[in-house]
Amino acid sequence: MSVPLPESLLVLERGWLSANNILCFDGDAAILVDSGYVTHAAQTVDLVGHALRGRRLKTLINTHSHSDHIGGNAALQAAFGCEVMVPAGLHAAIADWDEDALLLSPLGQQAARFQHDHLIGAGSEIDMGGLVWQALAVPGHDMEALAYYNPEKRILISGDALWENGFGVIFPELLGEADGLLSTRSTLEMLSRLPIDVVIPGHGSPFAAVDAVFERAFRRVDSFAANMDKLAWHAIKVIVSFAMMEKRQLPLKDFPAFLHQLPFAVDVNQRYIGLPADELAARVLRELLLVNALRRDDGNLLAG
Amino acid sequence: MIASPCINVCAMNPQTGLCAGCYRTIDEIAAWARLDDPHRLEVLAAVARRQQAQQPHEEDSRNNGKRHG
Repeated sequence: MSVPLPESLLVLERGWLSANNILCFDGDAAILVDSGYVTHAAQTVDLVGHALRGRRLKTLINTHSHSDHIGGNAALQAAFGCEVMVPAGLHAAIADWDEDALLLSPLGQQAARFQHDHLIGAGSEIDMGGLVWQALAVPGHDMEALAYYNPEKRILISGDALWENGFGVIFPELLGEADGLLSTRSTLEMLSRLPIDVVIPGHGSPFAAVDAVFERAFRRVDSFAANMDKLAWHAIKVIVSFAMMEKRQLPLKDFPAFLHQLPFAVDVNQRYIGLPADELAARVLRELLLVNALRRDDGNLLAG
Repeated sequence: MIASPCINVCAMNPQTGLCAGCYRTIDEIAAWARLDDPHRLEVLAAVARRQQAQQPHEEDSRNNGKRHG
Protein backbone atom coordinates (compact mmCIF):
# COMPACT_ATOMS: atom_id res chain seq x y z
CA MET A 1 0.00 0.00 0.00
CA SER A 2 1.17 3.50 -0.66
CA VAL A 3 1.96 5.42 2.51
CA PRO A 4 -0.63 8.10 3.34
CA LEU A 5 0.65 11.66 2.99
CA PRO A 6 -1.14 14.97 3.59
CA GLU A 7 -3.14 16.12 0.55
CA SER A 8 -0.86 19.13 0.27
CA LEU A 9 2.15 16.95 -0.64
CA LEU A 10 2.58 15.24 -4.00
CA VAL A 11 5.60 13.03 -4.67
CA LEU A 12 6.61 12.76 -8.31
CA GLU A 13 8.48 9.49 -8.34
CA ARG A 14 10.22 8.18 -11.45
CA GLY A 15 13.23 5.84 -11.72
CA TRP A 16 16.55 6.07 -9.93
CA LEU A 17 18.27 8.48 -12.34
CA SER A 18 15.96 11.34 -11.32
CA ALA A 19 15.57 12.00 -7.62
CA ASN A 20 11.98 12.37 -6.41
CA ASN A 21 10.37 15.76 -6.90
CA ILE A 22 8.09 16.72 -4.04
CA LEU A 23 5.42 19.33 -4.70
CA CYS A 24 4.08 21.09 -1.63
CA PHE A 25 0.85 23.03 -2.23
CA ASP A 26 -0.31 25.96 -0.17
CA GLY A 27 -3.34 27.87 -1.52
CA ASP A 28 -2.56 29.16 -5.00
CA ALA A 29 1.18 28.64 -4.64
CA ALA A 30 3.54 25.70 -4.45
CA ILE A 31 7.11 24.81 -3.50
CA LEU A 32 9.05 22.00 -5.14
CA VAL A 33 11.77 19.98 -3.43
CA ASP A 34 14.48 18.78 -5.87
CA SER A 35 14.30 18.73 -9.64
CA GLY A 36 15.64 15.43 -11.05
CA TYR A 37 18.33 14.70 -13.63
CA VAL A 38 19.08 17.11 -16.46
CA THR A 39 18.18 14.76 -19.33
CA HIS A 40 14.67 14.45 -17.83
CA ALA A 41 14.19 18.19 -17.35
CA ALA A 42 11.59 18.68 -20.11
CA GLN A 43 9.40 15.95 -18.63
CA THR A 44 9.95 17.37 -15.14
CA VAL A 45 8.62 20.73 -16.37
CA ASP A 46 5.62 18.95 -17.93
CA LEU A 47 4.95 16.95 -14.77
CA VAL A 48 5.19 19.93 -12.47
CA GLY A 49 3.09 22.10 -14.80
CA HIS A 50 0.46 19.37 -14.96
CA ALA A 51 0.36 18.92 -11.19
CA LEU A 52 0.26 22.68 -10.51
CA ARG A 53 -3.13 23.00 -12.27
CA GLY A 54 -2.84 26.74 -12.53
CA ARG A 55 -1.16 27.29 -9.20
CA ARG A 56 2.12 29.21 -9.09
CA LEU A 57 5.47 27.53 -8.47
CA LYS A 58 7.08 30.15 -6.24
CA THR A 59 10.14 28.29 -4.95
CA LEU A 60 12.36 25.36 -5.79
CA ILE A 61 14.43 24.10 -2.90
CA ASN A 62 17.18 21.46 -3.00
CA THR A 63 18.26 18.89 -0.44
CA HIS A 64 21.79 18.88 -1.88
CA SER A 65 23.58 19.64 -5.11
CA HIS A 66 24.11 16.29 -6.82
CA SER A 67 23.18 16.02 -10.48
CA ASP A 68 20.07 13.90 -9.95
CA HIS A 69 18.60 16.52 -7.59
CA ILE A 70 19.49 19.78 -9.37
CA GLY A 71 19.32 18.76 -13.05
CA GLY A 72 15.93 20.38 -13.61
CA ASN A 73 16.65 23.59 -11.68
CA ALA A 74 17.51 25.72 -14.72
CA ALA A 75 14.57 24.44 -16.78
CA LEU A 76 12.06 24.92 -13.95
CA GLN A 77 13.41 28.40 -13.26
CA ALA A 78 13.00 29.28 -16.93
CA ALA A 79 9.54 27.71 -17.25
CA PHE A 80 7.95 28.97 -14.03
CA GLY A 81 10.08 31.91 -12.91
CA CYS A 82 10.45 30.31 -9.47
CA GLU A 83 13.08 31.33 -6.97
CA VAL A 84 15.75 28.75 -6.19
CA MET A 85 16.88 28.06 -2.65
CA VAL A 86 19.88 25.83 -1.88
CA PRO A 87 21.60 24.63 1.31
CA ALA A 88 23.88 27.41 2.57
CA GLY A 89 27.02 25.25 2.49
CA LEU A 90 26.69 24.84 -1.26
CA HIS A 91 26.73 28.55 -2.07
CA ALA A 92 30.26 28.68 -3.48
CA ALA A 93 30.13 25.41 -5.40
CA ILE A 94 26.97 26.51 -7.20
CA ALA A 95 27.84 30.19 -7.61
CA ASP A 96 31.22 29.27 -9.16
CA TRP A 97 29.74 26.22 -10.87
CA ASP A 98 32.61 24.13 -9.55
CA GLU A 99 32.14 20.90 -11.49
CA ASP A 100 34.55 19.04 -9.24
CA ALA A 101 32.83 20.08 -6.02
CA LEU A 102 29.44 19.35 -7.58
CA LEU A 103 30.86 15.89 -8.48
CA LEU A 104 29.91 16.37 -12.11
CA SER A 105 33.37 15.84 -13.60
CA PRO A 106 34.53 12.99 -11.34
CA LEU A 107 31.32 11.01 -11.86
CA GLY A 108 30.97 11.77 -15.57
CA GLN A 109 27.57 13.39 -15.02
CA GLN A 110 25.90 16.45 -16.51
CA ALA A 111 23.82 19.31 -15.14
CA ALA A 112 22.51 22.63 -16.44
CA ARG A 113 24.02 25.65 -14.72
CA PHE A 114 21.64 27.76 -12.66
CA GLN A 115 21.84 30.65 -10.24
CA HIS A 116 20.29 30.39 -6.80
CA ASP A 117 18.36 33.28 -5.25
CA HIS A 118 18.39 32.25 -1.59
CA LEU A 119 20.28 30.09 0.86
CA ILE A 120 18.80 28.00 3.63
CA GLY A 121 20.84 27.03 6.66
CA ALA A 122 20.52 24.16 9.10
CA GLY A 123 18.30 25.19 12.00
CA SER A 124 16.06 27.46 9.97
CA GLU A 125 12.41 26.80 9.25
CA ILE A 126 10.48 26.91 6.02
CA ASP A 127 6.73 26.73 5.29
CA MET A 128 5.88 24.16 2.64
CA GLY A 129 2.47 22.68 1.91
CA GLY A 130 0.85 24.44 4.87
CA LEU A 131 3.35 22.80 7.25
CA VAL A 132 6.42 24.15 9.01
CA TRP A 133 9.60 22.24 8.21
CA GLN A 134 12.91 22.35 10.07
CA ALA A 135 16.05 22.26 7.97
CA LEU A 136 18.34 19.62 9.47
CA ALA A 137 22.02 19.18 8.66
CA VAL A 138 22.47 15.61 7.42
CA PRO A 139 26.16 15.35 6.46
CA GLY A 140 27.56 12.10 5.08
CA HIS A 141 26.64 11.32 1.46
CA ASP A 142 26.97 15.07 0.89
CA MET A 143 28.56 17.05 3.72
CA GLU A 144 26.37 20.11 3.07
CA ALA A 145 23.06 18.29 2.59
CA LEU A 146 19.86 19.26 4.39
CA ALA A 147 16.81 17.20 5.23
CA TYR A 148 13.43 18.79 5.98
CA TYR A 149 11.41 17.62 8.96
CA ASN A 150 7.85 18.44 9.96
CA PRO A 151 7.31 17.58 13.66
CA GLU A 152 3.54 18.01 13.49
CA LYS A 153 2.88 15.29 10.89
CA ARG A 154 6.18 13.55 11.72
CA ILE A 155 7.33 13.53 8.11
CA LEU A 156 10.97 13.58 7.02
CA ILE A 157 12.08 14.62 3.54
CA SER A 158 15.42 12.86 3.71
CA GLY A 159 17.11 13.43 0.35
CA ASP A 160 19.89 10.85 0.05
CA ALA A 161 20.67 10.75 3.79
CA LEU A 162 18.18 7.93 4.35
CA TRP A 163 16.50 5.54 1.94
CA GLU A 164 14.33 2.54 2.61
CA ASN A 165 17.40 0.47 1.87
CA GLY A 166 20.41 2.40 3.09
CA PHE A 167 21.53 5.84 1.86
CA GLY A 168 23.46 7.49 -0.95
CA VAL A 169 27.11 6.56 -1.48
CA ILE A 170 29.28 7.99 1.30
CA PHE A 171 31.62 10.02 -0.90
CA PRO A 172 33.98 12.08 1.30
CA GLU A 173 36.67 9.49 2.10
CA LEU A 174 36.56 8.16 -1.46
CA LEU A 175 37.22 11.69 -2.73
CA GLY A 176 40.20 12.06 -0.41
CA GLU A 177 38.26 14.07 2.16
CA ALA A 178 37.42 13.20 5.74
CA ASP A 179 34.58 12.38 8.11
CA GLY A 180 32.00 10.97 5.71
CA LEU A 181 31.54 7.73 7.61
CA LEU A 182 31.49 9.34 11.05
CA SER A 183 29.09 12.01 9.85
CA THR A 184 26.81 9.44 8.27
CA ARG A 185 26.64 7.60 11.56
CA SER A 186 25.87 10.72 13.60
CA THR A 187 23.31 11.82 11.02
CA LEU A 188 21.56 8.45 11.33
CA GLU A 189 21.71 8.69 15.12
CA MET A 190 20.19 12.17 15.04
CA LEU A 191 17.43 11.12 12.63
CA SER A 192 16.67 7.92 14.53
CA ARG A 193 15.89 9.97 17.65
CA LEU A 194 13.19 11.97 15.85
CA PRO A 195 9.58 10.83 16.00
CA ILE A 196 9.02 9.91 12.34
CA ASP A 197 5.90 8.36 10.81
CA VAL A 198 6.76 8.75 7.15
CA VAL A 199 9.98 9.30 5.22
CA ILE A 200 9.88 10.79 1.73
CA PRO A 201 13.29 9.71 0.43
CA GLY A 202 15.25 11.17 -2.46
CA HIS A 203 14.82 7.90 -4.36
CA GLY A 204 12.16 5.22 -4.06
CA SER A 205 8.64 5.35 -2.62
CA PRO A 206 7.76 7.05 0.65
CA PHE A 207 7.93 4.55 3.49
CA ALA A 208 6.67 4.13 7.02
CA ALA A 209 8.40 1.26 8.82
CA VAL A 210 11.29 3.38 10.02
CA ASP A 211 12.68 1.21 12.82
CA ALA A 212 13.72 -1.57 10.48
CA VAL A 213 15.05 1.02 8.05
CA PHE A 214 17.33 2.60 10.65
CA GLU A 215 18.51 -0.81 11.76
CA ARG A 216 19.51 -1.63 8.18
CA ALA A 217 21.17 1.74 7.68
CA PHE A 218 23.24 1.42 10.88
CA ARG A 219 24.34 -2.06 9.89
CA ARG A 220 25.38 -0.78 6.50
CA VAL A 221 27.39 2.22 7.70
CA ASP A 222 29.11 0.07 10.32
CA SER A 223 30.07 -2.54 7.75
CA PHE A 224 31.51 0.19 5.51
CA ALA A 225 33.40 1.73 8.43
CA ALA A 226 34.87 -1.68 9.23
CA ASN A 227 35.89 -2.25 5.63
CA MET A 228 36.68 0.69 3.38
CA ASP A 229 37.29 -1.60 0.42
CA LYS A 230 33.67 -2.67 0.65
CA LEU A 231 32.54 0.97 0.51
CA ALA A 232 34.91 1.61 -2.41
CA TRP A 233 33.61 -1.36 -4.39
CA HIS A 234 29.98 -0.46 -3.67
CA ALA A 235 30.62 3.13 -4.81
CA ILE A 236 32.24 2.04 -8.08
CA LYS A 237 29.28 -0.17 -8.91
CA VAL A 238 26.74 2.55 -8.06
CA ILE A 239 28.51 5.14 -10.17
CA VAL A 240 28.87 2.81 -13.15
CA SER A 241 25.17 1.84 -12.87
CA PHE A 242 24.18 5.49 -12.75
CA ALA A 243 26.30 6.31 -15.80
CA MET A 244 24.73 3.39 -17.67
CA MET A 245 21.21 4.57 -16.72
CA GLU A 246 22.02 7.79 -18.50
CA LYS A 247 23.75 6.10 -21.44
CA ARG A 248 20.97 3.48 -21.78
CA GLN A 249 23.03 1.08 -23.89
CA LEU A 250 26.37 0.49 -25.52
CA PRO A 251 28.16 -2.26 -27.41
CA LEU A 252 29.41 -4.81 -24.89
CA LYS A 253 32.94 -4.47 -26.19
CA ASP A 254 32.93 -0.75 -25.35
CA PHE A 255 32.15 -1.29 -21.68
CA PRO A 256 35.77 -1.28 -20.41
CA ALA A 257 36.48 2.00 -22.22
CA PHE A 258 33.21 3.45 -20.88
CA LEU A 259 34.15 2.53 -17.31
CA HIS A 260 37.63 3.95 -17.67
CA GLN A 261 36.21 7.32 -18.69
CA LEU A 262 34.73 7.70 -15.21
CA PRO A 263 37.55 9.35 -13.20
CA PHE A 264 35.97 8.43 -9.87
CA ALA A 265 35.82 4.71 -10.70
CA VAL A 266 39.42 4.66 -11.92
CA ASP A 267 40.72 6.62 -8.96
CA VAL A 268 38.83 4.67 -6.29
CA ASN A 269 39.98 1.41 -7.86
CA GLN A 270 43.57 2.62 -7.80
CA ARG A 271 43.45 3.73 -4.20
CA TYR A 272 41.40 0.96 -2.61
CA ILE A 273 40.97 -2.08 -4.83
CA GLY A 274 44.01 -2.15 -7.09
CA LEU A 275 42.61 -4.33 -9.86
CA PRO A 276 44.21 -4.19 -13.31
CA ALA A 277 42.03 -2.24 -15.75
CA ASP A 278 40.64 -5.22 -17.65
CA GLU A 279 39.89 -7.14 -14.48
CA LEU A 280 38.11 -4.15 -12.97
CA ALA A 281 35.79 -3.89 -15.97
CA ALA A 282 35.16 -7.64 -16.05
CA ARG A 283 34.34 -7.81 -12.36
CA VAL A 284 32.07 -4.75 -12.35
CA LEU A 285 30.28 -6.12 -15.41
CA ARG A 286 29.82 -9.54 -13.84
CA GLU A 287 28.41 -8.16 -10.60
CA LEU A 288 26.08 -5.64 -12.25
CA LEU A 289 24.70 -8.35 -14.54
CA LEU A 290 24.14 -10.56 -11.54
CA VAL A 291 21.88 -8.02 -9.81
CA ASN A 292 20.17 -7.03 -13.09
CA ALA A 293 21.54 -3.50 -12.96
CA LEU A 294 22.78 -4.32 -16.47
CA ARG A 295 21.48 -6.76 -19.06
CA ARG A 296 23.04 -8.32 -22.14
CA ASP A 297 21.21 -8.33 -25.44
CA ASP A 298 23.23 -9.84 -28.29
CA GLY A 299 26.39 -7.77 -28.49
CA ASN A 300 24.91 -4.91 -26.49
CA LEU A 301 24.83 -3.97 -22.88
CA LEU A 302 21.64 -2.35 -21.58
CA ALA A 303 20.81 -0.50 -18.37
CA GLY A 304 18.65 -2.78 -16.19
CA MET B 1 4.21 -2.34 -3.66
CA ILE B 2 4.18 -2.81 -7.40
CA ALA B 3 7.29 -1.29 -8.94
CA SER B 4 7.10 1.61 -11.35
CA PRO B 5 7.60 0.82 -15.06
CA CYS B 6 10.00 3.79 -15.32
CA ILE B 7 13.20 2.86 -17.14
CA ASN B 8 14.88 6.26 -16.72
CA VAL B 9 14.16 7.52 -20.23
CA CYS B 10 11.72 10.14 -18.88
CA ALA B 11 10.98 12.09 -22.05
CA MET B 12 7.53 12.60 -23.54
CA ASN B 13 6.86 11.59 -27.12
CA PRO B 14 4.95 14.59 -28.49
CA GLN B 15 3.24 12.42 -31.12
CA THR B 16 1.71 9.96 -28.68
CA GLY B 17 1.53 12.05 -25.52
CA LEU B 18 3.19 9.12 -23.75
CA CYS B 19 6.57 8.79 -22.11
CA ALA B 20 8.97 7.33 -24.67
CA GLY B 21 10.37 4.98 -22.04
CA CYS B 22 7.45 3.71 -19.95
CA TYR B 23 4.39 4.48 -22.15
CA ARG B 24 2.58 6.32 -19.38
CA THR B 25 0.68 9.59 -19.68
CA ILE B 26 1.81 12.61 -17.67
CA ASP B 27 -1.23 12.05 -15.47
CA GLU B 28 -0.23 8.47 -14.72
CA ILE B 29 3.37 9.38 -13.95
CA ALA B 30 2.32 12.25 -11.66
CA ALA B 31 -0.16 10.05 -9.78
CA TRP B 32 2.07 6.96 -9.45
CA ALA B 33 3.32 7.48 -5.90
CA ARG B 34 -0.26 7.90 -4.66
CA LEU B 35 -1.71 4.86 -6.42
CA ASP B 36 -2.48 1.68 -4.54
CA ASP B 37 -1.58 -1.67 -6.09
CA PRO B 38 -4.89 -2.34 -7.90
CA HIS B 39 -4.61 1.04 -9.64
CA ARG B 40 -0.95 0.46 -10.41
CA LEU B 41 -1.92 -2.82 -12.07
CA GLU B 42 -4.46 -0.97 -14.20
CA VAL B 43 -1.74 1.42 -15.35
CA LEU B 44 0.62 -1.47 -16.10
CA ALA B 45 -2.10 -3.19 -18.15
CA ALA B 46 -2.65 0.01 -20.14
CA VAL B 47 1.12 0.31 -20.61
CA ALA B 48 1.30 -3.24 -21.98
CA ARG B 49 -1.53 -2.52 -24.45
CA ARG B 50 0.09 0.70 -25.69
CA GLN B 51 3.44 -0.99 -26.03
CA GLN B 52 1.98 -3.70 -28.21
CA ALA B 53 0.10 -1.18 -30.31
CA GLN B 54 3.14 0.99 -30.86
CA GLN B 55 6.08 -1.27 -30.97
CA PRO B 56 5.84 -2.32 -34.62
CA HIS B 57 6.39 1.32 -35.73
CA GLU B 58 8.95 2.11 -33.12
CA GLU B 59 11.21 -0.90 -33.26
CA ASP B 60 13.72 0.97 -35.39
CA SER B 61 13.71 4.30 -33.64
CA ARG B 62 13.61 3.18 -30.03
CA ASN B 63 16.85 2.07 -28.56
CA ASN B 64 16.32 1.71 -24.87
CA GLY B 65 16.07 -2.02 -25.29
CA LYS B 66 14.07 -2.96 -22.24
CA ARG B 67 10.73 -3.13 -23.99
CA HIS B 68 11.89 -5.00 -27.03
CA GLY B 69 10.10 -8.31 -27.26
